[in-house]
Amino acid sequence: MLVFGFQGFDSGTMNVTSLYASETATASGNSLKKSDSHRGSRIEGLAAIAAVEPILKPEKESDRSKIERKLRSLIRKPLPDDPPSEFPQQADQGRSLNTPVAADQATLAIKDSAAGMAKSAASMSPVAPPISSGSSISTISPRVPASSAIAGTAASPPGSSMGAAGSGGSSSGGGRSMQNLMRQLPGLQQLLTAQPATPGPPSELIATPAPPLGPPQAGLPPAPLNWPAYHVLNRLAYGGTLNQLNTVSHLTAQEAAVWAVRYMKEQLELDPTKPWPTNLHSTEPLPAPIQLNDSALSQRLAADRADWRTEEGLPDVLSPSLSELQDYDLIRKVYSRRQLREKMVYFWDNHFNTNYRTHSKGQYELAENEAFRANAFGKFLDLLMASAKSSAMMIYLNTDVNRKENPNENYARELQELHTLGVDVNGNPNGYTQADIVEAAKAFTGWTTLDVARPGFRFIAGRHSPGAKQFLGQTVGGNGGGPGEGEQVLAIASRHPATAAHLAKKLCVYFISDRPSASLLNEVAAVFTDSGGDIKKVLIAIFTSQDFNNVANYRGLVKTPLEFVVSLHRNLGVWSPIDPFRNRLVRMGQGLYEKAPPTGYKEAADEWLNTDTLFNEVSFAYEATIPGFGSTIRYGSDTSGGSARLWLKSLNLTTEADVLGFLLNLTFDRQVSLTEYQTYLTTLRSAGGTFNLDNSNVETPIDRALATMLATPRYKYQ
Amino acid sequence: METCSQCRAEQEDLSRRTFLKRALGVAGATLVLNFFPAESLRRSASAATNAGKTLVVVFQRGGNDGLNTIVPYTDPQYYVVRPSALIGAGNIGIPPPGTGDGAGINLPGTGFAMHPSIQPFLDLYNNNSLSIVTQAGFVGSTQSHFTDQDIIERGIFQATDGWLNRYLQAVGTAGAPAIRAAGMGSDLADSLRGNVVVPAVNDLTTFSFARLNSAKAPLESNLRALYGQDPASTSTNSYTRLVHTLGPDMLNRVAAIEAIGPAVPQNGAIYPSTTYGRQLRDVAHIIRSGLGLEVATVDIGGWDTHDDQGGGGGATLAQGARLAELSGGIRAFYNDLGPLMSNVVLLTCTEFGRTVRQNASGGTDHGKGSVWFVLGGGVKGGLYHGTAGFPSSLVDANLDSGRYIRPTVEFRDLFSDVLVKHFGVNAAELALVFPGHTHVPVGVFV
Repeated sequence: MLVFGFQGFDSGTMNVTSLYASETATASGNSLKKSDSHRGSRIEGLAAIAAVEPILKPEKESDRSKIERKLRSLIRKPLPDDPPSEFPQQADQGRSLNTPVAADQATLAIKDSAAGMAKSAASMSPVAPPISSGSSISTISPRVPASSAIAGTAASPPGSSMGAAGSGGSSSGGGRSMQNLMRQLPGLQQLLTAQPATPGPPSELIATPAPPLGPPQAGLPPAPLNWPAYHVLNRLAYGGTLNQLNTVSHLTAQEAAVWAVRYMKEQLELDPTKPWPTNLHSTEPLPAPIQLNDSALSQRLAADRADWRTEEGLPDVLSPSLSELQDYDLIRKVYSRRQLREKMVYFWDNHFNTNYRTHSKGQYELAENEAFRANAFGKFLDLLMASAKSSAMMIYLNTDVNRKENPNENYARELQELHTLGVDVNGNPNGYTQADIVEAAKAFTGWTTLDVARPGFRFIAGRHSPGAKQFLGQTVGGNGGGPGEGEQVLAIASRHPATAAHLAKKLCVYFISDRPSASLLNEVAAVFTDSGGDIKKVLIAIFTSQDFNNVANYRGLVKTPLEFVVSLHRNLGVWSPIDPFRNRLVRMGQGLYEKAPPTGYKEAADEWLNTDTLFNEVSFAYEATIPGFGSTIRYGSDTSGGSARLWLKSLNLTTEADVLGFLLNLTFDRQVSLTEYQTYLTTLRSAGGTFNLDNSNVETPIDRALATMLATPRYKYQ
Repeated sequence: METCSQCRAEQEDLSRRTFLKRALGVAGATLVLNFFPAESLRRSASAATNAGKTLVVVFQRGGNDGLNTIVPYTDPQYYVVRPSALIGAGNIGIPPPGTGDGAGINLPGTGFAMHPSIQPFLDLYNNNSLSIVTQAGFVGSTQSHFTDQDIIERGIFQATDGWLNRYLQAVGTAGAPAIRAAGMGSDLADSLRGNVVVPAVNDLTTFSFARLNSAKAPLESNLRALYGQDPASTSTNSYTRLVHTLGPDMLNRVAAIEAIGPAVPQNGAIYPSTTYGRQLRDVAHIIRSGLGLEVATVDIGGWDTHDDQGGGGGATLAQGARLAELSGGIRAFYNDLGPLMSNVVLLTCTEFGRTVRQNASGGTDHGKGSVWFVLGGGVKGGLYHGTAGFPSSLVDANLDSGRYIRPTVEFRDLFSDVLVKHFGVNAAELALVFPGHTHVPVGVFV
C-alpha cells in the first residue's frame, strides 16, 4: 500500500483510480491537510517521491531493508526555522538540498508502510490517463506550459521532453516495470506535490526520422539551409535530443528560423509569442519567467538521490560522494529540458570553481551548485554573494581561516583576478592592485563556515579587522564592521566596468566564438552594466546578436569533453547507466567538482585538444558502439536491446541513404564532406552483398560506421 | 652555427604568429595556429648533443615553501619567524639536526639542513648527483598561481607557447623518435604547448586500442582517412586543423605505447602509489624502451600550504607529506634508471616560494624565491644560493618586501644551463627559446 504521509489518506488499500480522482477534485485548493507554512512547498512531495522512488530501482528481496533504511534517512523532524523550499529562489546558499519536512504522522506512516509498498505497487492498475495528454492538465494548473505545439506544423514543440524515437523514451529508462507504471500513472506524480498540480511535460510528437541523404558534392560542405535550428541546439543545449534533431531535419529554412527563435525564448523563460524584450539597457525587470516543466528530470534525480550516503551520525543530512555528485550533475545535463539553465549552471560552477577534495563534503558542493542553479539567470551579484558565502568556496580559498591577526589573501586575490575584474592577456590586473587585495582580505575577516555538517555562512565578530578599508578607490565600512564590509567589497567589485568586460568575454567565448568581435563584447558588457548584472538580459543580448546568428559561427566551436559526452547521450537517445560515462569524463580531464586550480576548466579549443583527451573521446565513441570494447552503453530503444541494427529497423529505415540520412542528422546536422560520406557508406557495405537491415550481418558494419562517426573530428564541432 | 634559412623563416613566422595570437579580436586573429607534426621541423646537422638525452621537468603546483625544504637552522631568526614544531602545535619550524622528532637532516659545512621528509634525497646529495638551488624564481613574480606558473612555463612574459616546445622547435633530433616529448597527465603542461604537437599521456596501461580486436584495423583505417582530409575542405573552423593533426598523431602514439608494454621498475625501485609516482614510473619506462623520449613533464600538486603546513616527523602535515612523495618518486626514478640516469636530467620547479614568517593558520602565504632541484647526469651537486648568497639573517630588512625570500637565481638562467649543458644547445638556439634573455650561467652543471 502506498502512503505518502499526507493526512486524509486512508492507510488501507488504495487504488490508482481513487488517487487520481481525488487529485482532479482538488484542483484549485488542496484537500490534503497541510500546515500553512508548507503550502506551496514541494518538499513533502519530494520526500514522498523519494519515498516512492526507491521502488523504482530494480527490486530484489534483499533490497527491501535497504530501501526502508533509505526512506527513514530521508525523513527528519522539522526544525522551527526550516525553509520550505528545496530550491531557494534567492541566493540563499546556506541551505542543504535535503530539507524535507514531513509531519510526524507521516513519518510513522511511511515507516509502517514501507514494507507494504511493493505489494501495493503491484496492485495498482494503470487506469489513469497519461498526464501528458495536455488539455485536462492545462485547466488545473495556473501555469501554462511553455511548450505548446507549433501551430500548423508537424514538428514537435521545441523544448519538449526528450524521448527516443522508439518506444523506450529515455525519460523513464526502459525495462523496469515500476518505471513503466509510473510513466502510465503520472497522476501519482501530481498527488505527491503539495502545490496545485503542475502538468507533466506536454505530450511530445514523435517526429519521423530525418529524410534519406545521398552523397554530397565534393568540396567544403555548406551549412544546411535549416542551420539556425541545429545551431541553437548545439549552443543553448548540450546538443539536440534524438527527437529534436529528427524534428529539425524536416524544417525548411524559414521554419527553422522561427523554430530557433522560439526555442531560444523558451530556454530563456520568455513567452515565445511575444517579441524580444527591448529593455536590456535598463534595470527594469523582465517579465516573470515561464519555466519549462522538468518533472521527469525530478523523478530521475530523486531516484538517484535515494542511494546517497548521509553525514555520519546525521541521517537527515545527505552527503553525496564525489562520484555521486558527478552522476547527479550528469543526469541533469543529459535529461533536463531546461538546457540553457544547465549550461549556465556549469558556467557559474566553473567560473566560481571550487574543489570537492579540499573539504570532502558533498553537501557543500551541492548547496553551492543549487544556489547557482537558482540564480543562473539572475543577478551577477547574487551569484557572487552565493559563491563567496558558500562553505565550499570559503574552505577552498581559506576565507574560513581569514582573521584580523593574520588576514588570508587567497580569496581576496582570486575574487578580483578570476571572479570579477580579471587580468589582461599578459596577466596584468584589470584595475586592481595588491593593496586592493590586502584591503579586501581585511574586509572578509570573520567570515567563516556555519558548521562541519551543514553548509552555510556565519560571521565571527571577534575575528573581524576593525577600521575602514580602501577598496578600488572607495571606502568600505569602518563603523562597526560586520559581514557587510565583505558584502560591500563584493558589490563594488561586481559593478566595476572590468567585471562587465570580463564576464562578457567569457560568455561570448562560451556561446559564440573563440574570438568574439569587439563590437559584440562592448554591447554585451554594456548590457551587463546597464542592467545591473542581469544575466538573462546579457544572454538575450548574446543570442540576439548578429555574431550569434551569423552562419560563419555555425559549427565554429569545439566541444569540451563534458559537452562531448553529454551530447552523445542526447543525440543518440542513450538509455543506459551513467557510470561509465562519468569515469570516462574524469579520464578526459574534466571531472566535475574536482578541478584543483581556481581558474576552473578552460573553454578554448586549444586548451582541450591534446592526445590524451582525444584518445579518451575516441575510446568513449568506441565504448558506445563496439561490443566487447567495454561498452555498457545502449542506444535506441529498449525493444531493440541496444542493437543498432534493430534500432534502425524499428524506425522503418531500409536503404543506406535512409540510414545515413538518419545517423548523419544526429551527429553532424547532415553536413558532411564527400570523403566522409563515402567512408561511412563503404563501412556500411563492408559485409558485402546488398545492404539489408533484416540481415544480421550488417550489425557489425553499422556499429563500425557509427563508431567512426562519433570518433571523427566533425563530431567535436559545436 | 648558422641556422638554415628555412628554419629562420619558420622562426620568424613563429614569433609573428605568437604576437598575433596575443592580439584580441584583431584581423590577425583569423590566423590559424599552424600545427605541424614534430617530424617536419627536424633540421639537419645541429651541433646539439641531445641524442639519447632526456630532460624531465617536475612542476610542484601551488608554490612549495623552499625555506622549510632546505632549512637555515643556524640562523636564530629562522626560529623567530617559524617557531619549532617541537614546542607547539601549528608551528612549522623544522628543529635543528639531532634535537628530536622531525629534526632536519644536516648538510655538513653548509649551515643548512634538509626537511626530514626529503630523506630519499640525502644519498643523491652526498654522491653529488643532486644540485639544490635555494632561491630560484624571477624578478617580477606576482604571487599569483595562475600568472607565475604561466611565466615560468612559457619562459618569457609575452610568449603564448611553452619553453620546452620552443626547444623542440629550435633543436632537431636525429632519427624519428616515436615519442620525442610527452606531458604526463590528462592536461598537457603549458611548457609543452606550442607548434610542435606533443601528446598528453595520462595512463600508460590504458593507452591502447587493443581491445577492439578485429575492429581495430578497419576503424583505424577510417579514422586516418577522415582525419587525413585537408581541414580547409571540411570546415571553416580554424581549430579543425588542430583536430585533424592530433588524430593521426594520437593513433601513432598509441601504437608506440602499445608496443612497449607495461612498466616494470628495475633495481628494486619502489615508486609512491600515487598518480605522480605512476607517472614518473611510466617516464622511466618510456626512456628505457628506447622510444627516443627527449622531454617529459610531470606534475605534483598540493603545495599551496596556506594552513596546516606542518613540520617533520610527528608534526608532518601537508608539506611533509608532499615532500616525501616528491623525493620518494624521484629517488625511485633514479634507482629505476640506474646507469641510464647519466643521460637524464630531472629538474623541479615551483611557481613561487612562501612567506618567511608563518601565518596564524599554521601555514604560509605566497612568496617569491624557492628551492629548485636539479638531478642527474652532469650535475655538480651541492647547494647554490646565487651570487648574492643566502641572507645571513632572515630579519625583514634582508627579505624581499620584508616578507619573501628574494629570488636571486633567475629561472631562465637555470633552464638555460640545462639546455646548454645537457642538450648542447648553442647561443642562437637558446635565443629562440628565451628571446631577449641574456644567459647568466648558474653553474649547477660540471
